[in-house]
Amino acid sequence: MNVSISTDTPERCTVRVQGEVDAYTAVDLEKALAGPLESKATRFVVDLSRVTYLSSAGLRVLLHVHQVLEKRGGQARLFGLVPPVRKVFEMAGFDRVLRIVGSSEEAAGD
Amino acid sequence: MPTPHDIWKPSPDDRPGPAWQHLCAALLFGVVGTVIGSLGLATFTIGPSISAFSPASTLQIIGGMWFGLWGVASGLVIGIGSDLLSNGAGGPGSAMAHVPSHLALSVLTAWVFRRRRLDPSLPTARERYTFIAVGGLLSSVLAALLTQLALLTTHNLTDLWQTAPILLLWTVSSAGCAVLFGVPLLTFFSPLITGSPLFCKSWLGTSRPFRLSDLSGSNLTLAGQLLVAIGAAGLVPIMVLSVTGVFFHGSIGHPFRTLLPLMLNLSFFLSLVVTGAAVLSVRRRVAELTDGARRVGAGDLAHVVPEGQDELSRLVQTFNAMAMDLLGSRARLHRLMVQQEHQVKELEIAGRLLEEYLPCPTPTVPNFEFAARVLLPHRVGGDFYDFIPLPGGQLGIVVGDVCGKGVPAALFMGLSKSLIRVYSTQRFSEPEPLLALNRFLTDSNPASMFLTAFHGLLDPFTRTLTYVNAGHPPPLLVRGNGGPVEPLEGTGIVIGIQADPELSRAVVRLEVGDVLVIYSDGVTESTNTKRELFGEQRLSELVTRHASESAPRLVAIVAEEVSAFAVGQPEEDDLTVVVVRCTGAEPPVASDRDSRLHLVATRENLGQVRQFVRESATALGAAEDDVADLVLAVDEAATNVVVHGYQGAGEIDVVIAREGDRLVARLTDSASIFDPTAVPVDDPERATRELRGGGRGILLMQKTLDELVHRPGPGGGNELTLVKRLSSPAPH
Repeated sequence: MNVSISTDTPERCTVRVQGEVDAYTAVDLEKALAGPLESKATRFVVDLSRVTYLSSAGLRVLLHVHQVLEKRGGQARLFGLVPPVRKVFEMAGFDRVLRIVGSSEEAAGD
Repeated sequence: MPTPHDIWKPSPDDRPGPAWQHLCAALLFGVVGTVIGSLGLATFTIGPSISAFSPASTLQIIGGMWFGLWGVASGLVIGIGSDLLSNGAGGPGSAMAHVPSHLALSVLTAWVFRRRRLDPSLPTARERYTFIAVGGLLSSVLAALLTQLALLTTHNLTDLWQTAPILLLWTVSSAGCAVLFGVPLLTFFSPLITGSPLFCKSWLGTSRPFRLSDLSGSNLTLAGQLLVAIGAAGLVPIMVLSVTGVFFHGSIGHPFRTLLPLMLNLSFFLSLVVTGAAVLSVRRRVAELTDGARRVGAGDLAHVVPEGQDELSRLVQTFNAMAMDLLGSRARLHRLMVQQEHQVKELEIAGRLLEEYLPCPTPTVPNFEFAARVLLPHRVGGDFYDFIPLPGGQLGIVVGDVCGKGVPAALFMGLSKSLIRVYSTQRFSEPEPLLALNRFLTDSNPASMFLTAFHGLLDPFTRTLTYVNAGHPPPLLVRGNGGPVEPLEGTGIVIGIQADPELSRAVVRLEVGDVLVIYSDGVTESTNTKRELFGEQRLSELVTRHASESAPRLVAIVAEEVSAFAVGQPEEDDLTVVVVRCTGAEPPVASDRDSRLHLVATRENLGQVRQFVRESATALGAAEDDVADLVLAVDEAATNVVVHGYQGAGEIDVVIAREGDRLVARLTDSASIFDPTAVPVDDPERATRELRGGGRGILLMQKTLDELVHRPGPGGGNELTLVKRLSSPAPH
C-alpha cells in the first residue's frame, strides 16, 4: 500500500491511497494520516480509485478520520471507489456514514 | 348325566374288587329280600304257591341288575330262604321247586340291561319300558310258568286249567310289584349303587376295591348315609317281626298273622320310596350346585343357583355371594389388565415415536459412503447410532449402547441420542458432546444408567476423523492398502458414572479405500451353539475379506454373518453396525498441495493468505465476485486470529476446497479459543459509528458468507469453517 498526502489549502488536503488496505497496511495508513489530522484542515479529499482491496481495518481508519474532522466541523469526502471496495462500504453500512462522492471535483468543492 | 354306555363301561380307575365284598353285599341284599319274602309268604297264602312273595321277587330282579351273578345268587337266597323261614308255605319241597323261577327273575332283566347297555336308574322312557316289559311282564310270566311246571310235578296238580287262574294271579302280582316298587327303587337308588364299588359292571363285578374308609362320613355320599340309616332302621324291626311271626305261626290268630306283617311290609317299601325321593331331591340340589360351580369355574360368574329354603340354602347363598365377589374382582382385574395393556402399548408407541422423532438418514458427504443398521430383537432397545450433519460440511458419527434393556433403556437411549445431537449442533461451554452428556448425566441421573459411546467428527476436506471413545468396543479401521487393522481403542470410561472423566480426543486420517466399522457389543458377543463368541477377530477378518464391498453391502454381510453364526440361539442383545468408507471417487479438494497454506500468523502475512485464497478459489472455478467475497471473509478471519487470537507467535493453516456449488475455507490455529460467531453484531449502526465498537470484520464475514462455523480444534485452538455458495458455479 502506498499513501500520498498533499495539502491543497490550509483547510483542505488530498489523500491518495494505492494498493490493498488490510490490518497490516491500515496501521501505516493511520500513521500517515496522523499529521494532517492534527493540522487545521477541515476537508479531506480521499482518492480511493487505486485501492484494490479494503478490509474492516481500513474502514476503521477512515471512520477515525471522519470522527476527528466532524468534531471540528469539517468533513472527509471519498471518491473513486472500485466496485469491490464500494461493496465493502455498503456491507458495513459505511456508505451512510461517510460521504462518498462521484468525482474529485465534487470531493473538493463545497 | 352319564349315558347308559358310561354306566357299563369300566373306567381306567376300575379294578376287580375282592370277592368277599360282593359276597357281603349279596348276602345283605339276600337277607333283606329273604325277610321281605318270608313275611309275604307267611301272611298271604291264598292257595298253593299263591302268596305275597311278589315284593321279594322285585328285589330278585333288581339284584341281578345291580350285583351281577352275586345278585343272582342273592335272588336264590331270597327265594329259598323265604320258603324255609316261612316254614314251607308251599309245602315240603316247594323251596327247591321254585329255583328255576327265581333264576329266571334274577337273570333275564339283568341280562337284557347289560346286553343293551341300559342304565338301571331308568333315566329315559326306553329304559323304563324295557324294565316294565322284561322285568315286569316277561320275567313274571316265565317265572309263573316255571313255578307251575314245578308244582305240577310236586303237588300233583294234574289239571292245567285248574291252575290257570293261579298262574294269572301270580303273574299279575309279580309284575305289579315290579312296576310299583321296582321302578321307584331303581330310579332312586341305582345312581347310588352304580356310583359305589359294589356295582358289578360285568357279571362278576369290575370296580375299584372297596375300602373301609368308603364308609366314613366324609367319603360316603349323603344319599349313601341315608340309605345305610334307613336300611339299618327298617331291617331290625322287620327281622324281629318276621321271627316272631314265624314263632307265633299257628298259635296267633289270623289278624296278626296276616294284616300286621303286611302293613309293615308295605310301610317298609313306602319308607324306602319316600327316603329315595328325599335323597333324589338332595341330589338334584347338589347337582344344581355342582352345575353352578362348573359354570362359574368356566367363567359364567353371573350364573345364580336357585337358593330355596332347605339346609343347603346357606351353602348356595355363600356360593352365589362368592360368584358375585368373583365377578367384582374379575371386573377389577379386567380393568387393571386393560390399564396395564394400555400402558404397555403407550410405552411401545413412545419407543416407536422416539425412533421416528430421531431420524438419522444416511448422509451424503463427498468422498465418503455410509451405511448403518440396528437390530432390536425386543423392538425397543438401548442401541443407537446417529449421523449429525454439521455446518461446514463436517459430520458427527455416533454409535452408543445404553445399559439395560426394554422400555427404560429405550427412553434413556432417546434422551442420550437427542442430547448428543443437541450438544453437537448447539453451542455449549463444553464442546465435546459426549463430555457434555456425561456432565448432564452425572448431575441428574437418579436411575444410575450409563452408556458406552463412540463419537467421531469426520472432516471430509481433511479426511480426518477426530474421535472420542467412551468405553465402547473399539471400532475397526481396515486400511485399503492392506495394512493391519487398527482398532480405535477407548479414550475414556463409559458415560454417566464419573463427574469429570478423563476423556481425550484422538485423530485418525482416512485414506481412499479405508473402511471404518463401528459396532455394538451385540456383534462380537453373539454366541453360537458351542457357546463361542463371534469376537473381534472374526469381525476383523470378515471386514478385511470384504473391504472392497460398498458400505451398505458390508453392513448386510456383517449382519448376515452374525445371524448365521448365532443361528439357533435366542436373539437377546441389540446389534448395531455402522460402516464408513472413504471412497475418494470425487475429490472435492483441488489437491492437498495446491489448496493448503501453512504460515506464521502475522499481520504481514495477511497478504499471502489473501493471495492464496484468491488463486485457489479462482482455480476451483469461482466467479470474480465470489472470490472477492471469500478473500475478504478469510482476511477478516485471519485478522482476528492475528489480532485477538495469538498473544505471541503462532501458526495458521488454511485449506480451500470446493464441494459442489459451495466453496469452503477452513482456518485452523492453535491460539486461545476465540469464536467470532459468538461476538454480538446485533448493532451494525454502533459498529459504523464507534471506533472501538467491535464486530465490523465479523459483520463483513456474515455479509459475504453463507455459513460460518467455529469449532474448537481437536488439539486445542480454533477451527473456523467459512462457506461461500457460488453465485454462478462454473463447471469444475
